[in-house]
Amino acid sequence: MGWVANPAVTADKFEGEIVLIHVQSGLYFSLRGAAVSLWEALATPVEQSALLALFGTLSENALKRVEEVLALFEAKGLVLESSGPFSVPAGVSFELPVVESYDDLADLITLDPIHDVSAEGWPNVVERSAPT
Amino acid sequence: MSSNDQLLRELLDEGCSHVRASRVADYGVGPDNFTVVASDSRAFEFLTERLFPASAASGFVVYLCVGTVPEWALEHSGPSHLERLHTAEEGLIGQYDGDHKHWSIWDPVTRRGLFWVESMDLLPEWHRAAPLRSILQWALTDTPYTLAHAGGVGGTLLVGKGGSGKSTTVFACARAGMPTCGDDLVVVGNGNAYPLYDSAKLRFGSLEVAGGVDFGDKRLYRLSDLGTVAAMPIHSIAVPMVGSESTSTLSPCRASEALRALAPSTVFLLRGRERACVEKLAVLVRSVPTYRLHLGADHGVSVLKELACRYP
Repeated sequence: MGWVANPAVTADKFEGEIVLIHVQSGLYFSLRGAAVSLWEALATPVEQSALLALFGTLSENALKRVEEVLALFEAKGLVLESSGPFSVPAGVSFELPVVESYDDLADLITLDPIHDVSAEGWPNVVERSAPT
Repeated sequence: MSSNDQLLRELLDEGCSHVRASRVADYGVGPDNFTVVASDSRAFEFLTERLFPASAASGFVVYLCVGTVPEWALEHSGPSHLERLHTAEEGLIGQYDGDHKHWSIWDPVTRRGLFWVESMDLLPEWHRAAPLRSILQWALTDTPYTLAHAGGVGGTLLVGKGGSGKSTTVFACARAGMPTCGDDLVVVGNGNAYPLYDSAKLRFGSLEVAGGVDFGDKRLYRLSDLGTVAAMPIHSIAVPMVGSESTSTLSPCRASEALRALAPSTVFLLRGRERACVEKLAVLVRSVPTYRLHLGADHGVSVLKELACRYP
């Protein structure tokens, strides 16, 4: 099995950090350390085993962190399954991966723009009474 | 061309054909201009009263059509409200609001936009304050410019989601004599920020400002009533943060933090052509110093004035 970066996700790199924006879900992310290397390796289809081998031999804890990042990429729709052809990314050194997820705008992106927004328009939300 | 694309093009052609050019005027969008053509005076007045008139030749045309609109008959392109946004080949793009019965369509090949509403009675009031925003954003796709969810004052671009303090800062700075180009939506590109709408909104209880009209839980003012409205070179980007100190302060922040404050709220607001928009915003945040603006009781006036003096 392999993955490739979801082309609907925008990615911009700044001095060791990548900002991802997933327009459909309203989520955005900050990647640092090994998460950056993993994302860059996903620019073309790559097998999961190649991603896990990207940093050479890792401690059990480090490998677990890499797997967690890949699981998050998949769970949040940042990557898509791919059947190849697969590339083999060049090895890089390991730095502890950091992924920060921001969902403060997600409620707005999933609003029904007709029924849930106020007269001021999106993203102003209609105040509703709590259901009784 | 797919059947969806064909349907969208037919809609555009049909809507434009209904418009007799009885009302025609030019307006600005960034350094570019566009022409609005309408036969319905009420639609023309409502949808142009907050645009800035221009005198130079026009770059593209937006037709305003009022009359029975065709329902959305295209395949849904995604979940939630994205389902009513369709992007066709050759850049043709359209969005449909089914409850308020209006279409926004843009064709980059013929450089025509169409805003087609069934009845002006159905149109939400926010269209008066920020008219045609999707069409204008799409029209800028192939230019260096983009709309940005930001305020601009004294050469500093204020970026952040709603409620972060952009508007209050812009109002306070404008009252202190600083030029502004907007409190919520501006055009940015090539290192400059441009006013887009002659609108500025302030939440009740944030600042006492005379005039304006009720607008939900805010008051709607004319930007031009606040002071000098002007295009400005952007020398800095600041991410406002509401604080409790008496004096506002600035501290450097990473460009990535500024992009996180600017790009998501912009592209979630202005659907379609998101990638082009984010690319332009990323270029911008890389090009100037970026700061956190810790807002105090002075609403950032002193520190933003000082910053403006550094970049005369």
